[in-house]
Amino acid sequence: MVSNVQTAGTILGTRETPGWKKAAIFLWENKTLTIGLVMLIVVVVCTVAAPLITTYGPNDQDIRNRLKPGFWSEEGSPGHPLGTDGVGRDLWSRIVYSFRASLFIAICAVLITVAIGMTVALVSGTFGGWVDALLMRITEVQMAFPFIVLALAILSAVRPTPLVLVVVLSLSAWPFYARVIRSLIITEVQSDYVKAARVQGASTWRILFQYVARNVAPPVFVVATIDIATMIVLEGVLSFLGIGVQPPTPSFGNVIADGKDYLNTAWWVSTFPGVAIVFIVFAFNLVGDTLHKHIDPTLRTRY
Amino acid sequence: MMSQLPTHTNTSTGQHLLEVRDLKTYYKIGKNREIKAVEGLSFTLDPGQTLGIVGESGSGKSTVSRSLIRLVDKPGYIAGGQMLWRGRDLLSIPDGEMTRLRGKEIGLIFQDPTTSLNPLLTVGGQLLETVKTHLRLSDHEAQAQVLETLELVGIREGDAVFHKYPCDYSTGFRQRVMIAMSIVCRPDIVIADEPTTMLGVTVQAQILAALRELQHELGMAMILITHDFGVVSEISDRILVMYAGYAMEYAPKREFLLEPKHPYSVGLITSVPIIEARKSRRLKVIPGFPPDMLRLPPGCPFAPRCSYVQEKCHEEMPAAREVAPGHWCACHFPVPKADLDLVEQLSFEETA
Amino acid sequence: MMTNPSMFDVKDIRKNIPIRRGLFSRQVGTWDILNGITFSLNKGEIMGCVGESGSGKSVLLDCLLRMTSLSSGEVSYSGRNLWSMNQDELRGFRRDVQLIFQDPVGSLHPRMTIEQILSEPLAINAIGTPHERKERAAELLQLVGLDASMAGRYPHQFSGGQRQRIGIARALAMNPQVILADEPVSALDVSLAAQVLNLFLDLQEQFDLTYFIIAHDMAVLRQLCTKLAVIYAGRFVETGLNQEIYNSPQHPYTRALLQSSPSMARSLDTRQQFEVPRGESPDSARLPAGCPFHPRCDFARDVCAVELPPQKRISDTHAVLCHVFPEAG
Repeated sequence: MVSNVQTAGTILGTRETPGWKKAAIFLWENKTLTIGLVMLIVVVVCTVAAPLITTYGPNDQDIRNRLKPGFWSEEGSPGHPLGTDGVGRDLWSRIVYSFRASLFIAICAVLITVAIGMTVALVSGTFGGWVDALLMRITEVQMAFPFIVLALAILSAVRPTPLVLVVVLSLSAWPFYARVIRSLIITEVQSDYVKAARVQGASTWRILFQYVARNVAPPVFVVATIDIATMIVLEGVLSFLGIGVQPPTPSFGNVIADGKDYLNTAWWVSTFPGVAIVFIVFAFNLVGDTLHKHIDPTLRTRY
Repeated sequence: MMSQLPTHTNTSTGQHLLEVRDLKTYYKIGKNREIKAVEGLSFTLDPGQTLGIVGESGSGKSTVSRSLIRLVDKPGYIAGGQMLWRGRDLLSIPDGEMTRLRGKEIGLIFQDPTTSLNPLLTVGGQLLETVKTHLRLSDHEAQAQVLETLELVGIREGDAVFHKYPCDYSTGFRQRVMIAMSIVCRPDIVIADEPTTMLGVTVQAQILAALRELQHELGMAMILITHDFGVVSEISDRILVMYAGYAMEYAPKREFLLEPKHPYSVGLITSVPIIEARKSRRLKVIPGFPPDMLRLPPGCPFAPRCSYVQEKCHEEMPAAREVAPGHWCACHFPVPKADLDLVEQLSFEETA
Repeated sequence: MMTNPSMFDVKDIRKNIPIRRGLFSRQVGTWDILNGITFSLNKGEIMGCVGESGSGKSVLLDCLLRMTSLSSGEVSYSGRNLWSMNQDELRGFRRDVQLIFQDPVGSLHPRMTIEQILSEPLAINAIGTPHERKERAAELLQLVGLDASMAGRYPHQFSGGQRQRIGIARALAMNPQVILADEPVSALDVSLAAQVLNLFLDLQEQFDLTYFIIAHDMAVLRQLCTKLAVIYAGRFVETGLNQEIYNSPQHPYTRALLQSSPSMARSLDTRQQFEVPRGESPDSARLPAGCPFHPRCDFARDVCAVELPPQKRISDTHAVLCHVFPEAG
């Protein structure tokens, strides 16, 4: 009785290509993503396999070879491709080992930020009313605090252990997530498919986790990815000021700080860690940006 | 491919206000792939006339409106044909001149008023700006023109419009403002792409009436692009039906409604629910789904859904032929009149 | 004599929302969205409600679905007041009464496959095993004329007409008794709309469904409905059977709607003019005194500006809210 059985005709079809080939084509056509991914792999290798790619330890001092330039100069000491710092430590090694501290802190900070932000957003969005108003006022107060002021205030009273640093970074970032996630949740809750679920008798929990989360999680994931880079920069600032990762543990910030007295002469000590930060930021941004475009299945091309 | 010109009553100079010949607009998708959004469109238009272009999604009708004003977005481009505005080919004039024509001689109404109005300028201010850009009028005259135009579309707020912003008004109101914007410089032709789709029935009626009145008063021509058959019938002098980028039928309104020749037109007309239906009935639908523009079959794109289809239809795209004076149809086997039970269907009596 | 059992019984429902401004949320006025709607919907009927935006028709649907509270009045389903149902009755209600949306794009979750979307209603109500739900999803797709192999795709891979069918399939998942539809075809192309309209009628026959459809297009309702109500400023200004409303409309607003609806047939008749009603749609925050339509009415008399019109019965099934019509004598 009911006619018009649809055949494959108008649906953007899928042909049978092997998965790996599809992936290869995908990577070729999205060169920015590929470059970003390659850079990320470098980051991961540096973090995880630091001992394997360095000849010297990050804290091995060699006063006789202090402030030696790297591969670009004839005076360079063999085995120190990027030169040495003020007490003769291999710069390459210090930079590679910095990845560990910085990335660890940055990733933990992002995770905690997202956790707090999401929770607050869920509570705010679900309960509404004065709870929502109160929480939003708290976020506003928190956001009004300049990051540095907050960091200085806390870190002057407490020793900057990695845990404390993670807390400081999260404290400044969670309000943004809370507010953004909250407005995403509010928009989602008003959508027609949520209404459809309610008409079918779905409970609030189900709606939040099955429907709302599915749409909120991907953009949050993308922003969080890019935020890792931001956290690394912020941690670098703190370390540079001396209230971040404490020496002798290397982190980009304090390696840069080590070289600030020699900017005219041994410029490499401060420059290369900076380059490393730029590299990481670039990597995360490239990946995050292109992920953003691809993560949304609703972004179909018209043709 | 309508490469022949439809004959038409012309102006005394023998030249039409607008003459489109074999317009082609394509979209480049990836290497060596193109979508032929508009394939060989031809029609003519004279002052005071209305052409209604009807089609469904994917028919190419929206591309037509953008092609006519040369605002086709990449990856689209105009691949061929001519658009003669008072004898001059719009495709060969410099960009600057085209910009001057838009708004002044060629008015535009697009579908969504929310994104087309500047939220930061007052309603009256935007209209004033448009007038001053194109016409040399004193401040006083410009204001008067703006208010007069607003009255034409049923807005009688007077000076209040110079103090209020688009967000202060409803969607229906904003659409009327959009329409006012398009005619404030008294253009010779208005191209309206789904102007009333977002509006309620009564507001739609008011606006269509206002446009009609303007045509009578100013001799303004109009191209109305829509999917709504009722609207197109009420207001057009000639109707052009598009499918998959081709113009399938082009005829004066009366002939089109009483004696459509193309199977698609017939199918469309019988699919439209009508108020005058004598009793509740099943609509005669066109089976199947709209075509996938990336995978058009060879031959006539409508063949897969056509109830009059024959071998030839799958092989060759029919060229447009004049099946009656002024009535063009792109079909190998036009529908014979005997097959039409439309008179009963439309439930009306023919008037002399 | 057997009358069809009543599915919905709506008694004088009103919805008024206070408008609050200022720091302390003072009430400065009310939005009078629904101002006393009464009707019943019986089994097998296809009831249409026509009105323009702002008339309250969407809010009426929400009231029928128990999605929004009432300021006064009562909505009963199968004899039970919606707001005094217990958990079991409520669950039964949610299985029995389903909704079809206007926008096929927004009503399907973009990140769920069609199969997931179609089995959601069953999963929510713990009906069947996952395997059975999968089968049911395939069955539903075929019911609406789509191929079961499409179950693994996402909504954005379908065209508008197909998505609307999926929406219909979803509404059918739990074998509902009543289907409410909010402008089911206004977002669709002509030929697809026609297919969906026919599908509505087919399904009604197949499953003995009851429909309540709101729309602004009178031609669509003419095609589908057995009875109609015309809604203006939160009131039914005219109710009646299909042929009563279309063949002998009484209320000036009904006539205005019919006259301003574009029509192919009428466009050919040079004797008839395309009638244009004057004035703006009513603002529910500032409804005029007396009959809400009187500022736009060509037949208004003095009494219309002062007093709300009474409801006049023209027949058992045809009623109109007007001082002037039907004309006496």
